[in-house]
Amino acid sequence: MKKLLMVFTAAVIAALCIGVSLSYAGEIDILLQKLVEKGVLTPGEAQQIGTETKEQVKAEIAEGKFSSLPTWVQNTKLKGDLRVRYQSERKKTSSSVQGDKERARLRMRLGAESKVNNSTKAYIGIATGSSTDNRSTNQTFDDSFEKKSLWLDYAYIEYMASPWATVMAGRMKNPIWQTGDMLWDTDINPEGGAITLTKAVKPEVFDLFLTSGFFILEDSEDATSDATMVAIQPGFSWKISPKTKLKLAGTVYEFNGVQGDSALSDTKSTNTRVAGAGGTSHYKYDYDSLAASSELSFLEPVLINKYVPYLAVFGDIVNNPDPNSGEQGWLVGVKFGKEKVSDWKDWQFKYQRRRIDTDAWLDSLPDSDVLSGATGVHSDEYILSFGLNKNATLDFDLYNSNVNNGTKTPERLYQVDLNFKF
Amino acid sequence: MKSLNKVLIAGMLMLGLAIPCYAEKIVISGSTTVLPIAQKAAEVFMNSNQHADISVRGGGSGVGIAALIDGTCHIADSSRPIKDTELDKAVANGKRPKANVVAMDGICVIVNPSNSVSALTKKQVKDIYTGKISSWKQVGGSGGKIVVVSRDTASGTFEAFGELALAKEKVRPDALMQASNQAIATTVAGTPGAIGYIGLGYLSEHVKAVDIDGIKASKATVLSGKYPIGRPLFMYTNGAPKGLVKEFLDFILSEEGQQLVEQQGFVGLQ
Repeated sequence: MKKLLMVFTAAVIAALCIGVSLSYAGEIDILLQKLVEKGVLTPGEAQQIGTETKEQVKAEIAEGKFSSLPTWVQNTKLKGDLRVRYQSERKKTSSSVQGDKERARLRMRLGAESKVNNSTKAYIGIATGSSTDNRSTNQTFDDSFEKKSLWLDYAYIEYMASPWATVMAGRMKNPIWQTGDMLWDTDINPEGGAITLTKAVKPEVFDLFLTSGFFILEDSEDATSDATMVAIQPGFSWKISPKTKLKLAGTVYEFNGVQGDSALSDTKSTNTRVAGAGGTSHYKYDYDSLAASSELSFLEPVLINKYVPYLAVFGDIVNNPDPNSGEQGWLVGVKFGKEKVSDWKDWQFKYQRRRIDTDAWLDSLPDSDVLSGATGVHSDEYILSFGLNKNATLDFDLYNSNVNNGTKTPERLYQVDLNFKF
Repeated sequence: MKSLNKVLIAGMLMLGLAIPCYAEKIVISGSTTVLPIAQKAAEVFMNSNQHADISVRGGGSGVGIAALIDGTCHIADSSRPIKDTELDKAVANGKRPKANVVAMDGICVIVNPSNSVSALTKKQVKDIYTGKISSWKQVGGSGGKIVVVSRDTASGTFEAFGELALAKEKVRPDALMQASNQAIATTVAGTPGAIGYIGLGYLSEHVKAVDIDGIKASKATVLSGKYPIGRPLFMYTNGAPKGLVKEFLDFILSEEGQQLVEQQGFVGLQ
């Protein structure tokens, strides 16, 4: 009889939770407390019923059965961020001309993740920026308070074919893993399709992954001259000990329709060109490249764990076998402090040094903050992030950049960012 | 006819021999905190249920829940509620994790009975264990150095205390690390300036439990959720438990099962 009463109580509470709102959880606790006081339930039974009911409601929400909200609301999550930046550029545009510039800039991104069905999700994001710049979502304060534009930042479908296979199609968040932004500016969202396979050889200890992507760079009227890219990245993530983790991946890139092409959008014109018919210049080399990325991280590293809760060393390397020289690029770095800066007094310092040769990689893809995203450059970058409040950070970023060869055009770029995530 | 009887008798004998050989298997994986409960319960349950073959392994709550989602275990032990991301994965994989609360984890902060301090805030406990507070005078005591006693890092109690009381911050390096609840109780009982923590079930008159945030450590306050260093312990199943899995969970929630829970130093639900 008592068991029956417990089942009935749980059912009533579940109905209350599902039918009304989770905000009534406090009232449910009061109800359970009353039942304990009246001797209907023991404290243990009340704890059991209360906890299990809350867990049941969570599961029902995950299944889309929470009926007090429209299904599309239950199935959709919104997220975004807002960044206000002060930026100072100190540079020489030639051996004698100084091209200093100060700017205030804004970035806003808003994204939605919506569950289509139990195995498919749709992702849509809008952001500030420019339709003609693939590597920036900034808007400069300018033009007498003219309104700023919003663009489609990403829109893609993610289909979980099985727990270990995910297929993506559309304009997507870059599925290729890298530790720095030497090859891919973090604002680039590739367009095409990708498949990610994962295998937990030993769950939460050793995971294998294989990401393959086919991306379209340029579409021309003649299909044979479309510029496309295939990327295949196998790798692993290994928790060597509870506090030490290693992630390593290699990537094979194959480009089609780039060598001999006159120019890709957003090129910085630093890759080697040769004169072609009609006076136009073409890419001299192919950019089929081999790349590798690795990160070794430590929680509570020995000797410094009292001051530094997290430390990681990382690096990326790329090699383009086509040119005889100017074919390599590398980035190495270290970061320490809090693994994620997301609350008051959290902090992290990051340093990274990079050098990329002229033809190591396509000049329309690297980080735009290093001499506008050119190749044939080297740079030192220092970032200090400090948590101001929950999801609010203050970041200081300094780049010291220069070209590898020819007339030196040193640039010192300072950025002070106020970041808010929601 | 005689030979038919012989065949029937032989058949029945073979069937009789075969039945005890048939064993139904349950695989349990997950939290190292819940592991001693699962191990002890499985041992006692298998003694009285010859057909049950229960395999218990640890790995952590995340590993257990991942195994439940992958379908490689029947019961996922967990010292925390399932995460939303894990639920999403489970639903996408056609699984419906069902929470079964089997016990409560309540950790008492203890001092030597001669210590005048009888109440601390949760923040003071954290500051003592992380090294920000090192004298009893700083928390209203009569002075003297605080001797910090902790469980060794491999124990589930250490892990639970780190999560519930220390917000995952590191225990000060000069803490005396002990291999058992009993060893902590003995050290604190014999050291006037010591502070330690033990499972509620190990509390005795040789040590003094201090109130945390004004709440006394007791079975009632842990069960009501009022005591700040307490949490429910789960055994997740895929949907409502059935068959042998249900029998096993019913056993853990029975009077006998809950006695085993308390013998392991946890708070029983009964």
